[in-house]
Amino acid sequence: MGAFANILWTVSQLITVNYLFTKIPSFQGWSLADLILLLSFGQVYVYVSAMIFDLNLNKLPDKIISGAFDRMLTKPINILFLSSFEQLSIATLIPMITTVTPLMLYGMINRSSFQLLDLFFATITLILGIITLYFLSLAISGLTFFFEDIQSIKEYVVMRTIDLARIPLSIFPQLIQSVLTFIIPIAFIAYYPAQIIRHQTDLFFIFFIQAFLLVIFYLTAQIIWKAGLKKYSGIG
Amino acid sequence: MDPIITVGHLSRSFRSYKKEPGVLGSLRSLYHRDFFDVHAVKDISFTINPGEAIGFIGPNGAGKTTTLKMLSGLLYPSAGQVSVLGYEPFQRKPEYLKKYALIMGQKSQLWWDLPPLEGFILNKEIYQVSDTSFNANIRYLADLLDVTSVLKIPVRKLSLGQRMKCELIAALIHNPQILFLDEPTIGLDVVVQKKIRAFLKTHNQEKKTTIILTSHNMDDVQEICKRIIIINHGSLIYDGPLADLTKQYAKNKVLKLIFNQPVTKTKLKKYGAITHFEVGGLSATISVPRVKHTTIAGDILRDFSVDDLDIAETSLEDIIREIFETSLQPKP
Repeated sequence: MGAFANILWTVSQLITVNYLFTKIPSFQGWSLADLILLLSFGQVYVYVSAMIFDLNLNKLPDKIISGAFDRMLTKPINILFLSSFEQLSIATLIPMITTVTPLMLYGMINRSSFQLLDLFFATITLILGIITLYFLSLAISGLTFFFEDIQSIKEYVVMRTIDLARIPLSIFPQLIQSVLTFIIPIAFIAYYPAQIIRHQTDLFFIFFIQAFLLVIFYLTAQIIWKAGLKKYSGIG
Repeated sequence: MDPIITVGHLSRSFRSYKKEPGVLGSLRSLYHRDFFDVHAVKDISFTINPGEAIGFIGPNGAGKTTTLKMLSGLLYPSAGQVSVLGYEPFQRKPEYLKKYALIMGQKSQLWWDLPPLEGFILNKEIYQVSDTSFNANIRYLADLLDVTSVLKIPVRKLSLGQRMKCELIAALIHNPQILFLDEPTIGLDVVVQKKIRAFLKTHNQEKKTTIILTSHNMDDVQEICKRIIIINHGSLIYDGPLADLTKQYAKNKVLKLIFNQPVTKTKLKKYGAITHFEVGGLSATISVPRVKHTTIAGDILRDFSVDDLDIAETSLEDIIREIFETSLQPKP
């Protein structure tokens, strides 16, 4: 049912954007194909994270508070790995294949300047963006060791902010642009991959910033978890 | 023989807070919280040798589970040293984690939606157990615990008893050297309890697995453990053979009497504390001082017409209760 709801949501977004473009020729320099591309990149993040780590990280605060986390700690596996990837949600592959892939193909092929190399670099940016956001989610989940009600913060910091990824970053004020690039780096999961396809960005600048952010968020998650595990008390 | 577990001056404290009830209390807790420290374990020391079966006894909140969690590396000690199999547990090195198993009666180790067999296979991969060893262990353990027929049913569909037996199998697949058991028979019926106790005893004797058991069920402790450690309010108050506990702390013995002529309660009172008296006056149980029990038994035989007299030790449950109630001071 979840997969079906996701398909419906994507279709409704598509209808809205399509209707918008019957009234206006472009949206701050973005064509219909550009916005569909942006939408599809954003959806790739949503489905990939839901399939691989979101479900596990969302359950984690409850497990830490209730003491169910004990079971995971006794296993001879890296605890960050087990906490993040214990359960995979394969069902999200259905909307990914049925809606996102055609949309992405439409957004890319429907332009004269498209090259396969663009897709390669956009994919690299997207993958690095997903990994960076994974480390951010991991770090926030790890804060449960210190503050009990962290799930609502995570919901607003990461899950709600993802909605902004489907809007061109350039329409926001500079401060918001900086926040969405450096603090909650959702710009790298949709805006920058789309800009690579549109030939509107400097690849070296993007990869440099991404590598930097990846290291920072990885280290932050590691530090929070290391200190958190020392503080872990569980119950019972 | 070198100890397998060495614990020295181990302590663990938790920070907690108090919250007043109601909306006002909730609002107040937003800007001010009354924090306080809970000293769950206070400066305890002991050693355990390979192959021993130890009962860890204490009332709720005594610090048993906290100690067990520190030994298994789940909790970081606030102070003191712990060495288990030569490892510092909290470092949680994979080599160490592969050498023990922890079973918590109130928490499932198995995957809720998967059948036990799939959970065992996952554990086989996690603990890198060979196919031969895995198959032999599953056959041996499932037969012994009589759960072969439920191995392919999802865990959430199993009864508590079946689940606990499967938990035991999951814990033993990798042949751990140490088995930490936290109330393994809680909530189980007497038949399953007996079966699990017999299994653990056999496993301890045959495989020489070191067992550290916490339980409120004294039958668990009496049947499986030869040595017990008692803790109360986080402090160690007894560490020694189970048999010595009776000698050291049981101040009374119990006289179980059957009379062939009805007697009155008033007449029996002078011999000791009457713990049971049958209406009709044909049987009674009297608790008498250990040092005088033979003299008192002789007096009763002389004063009454007795059909049967049984002199018994005070039950372990009563001794433990007395120890907790009198709040014995920790060992110096």
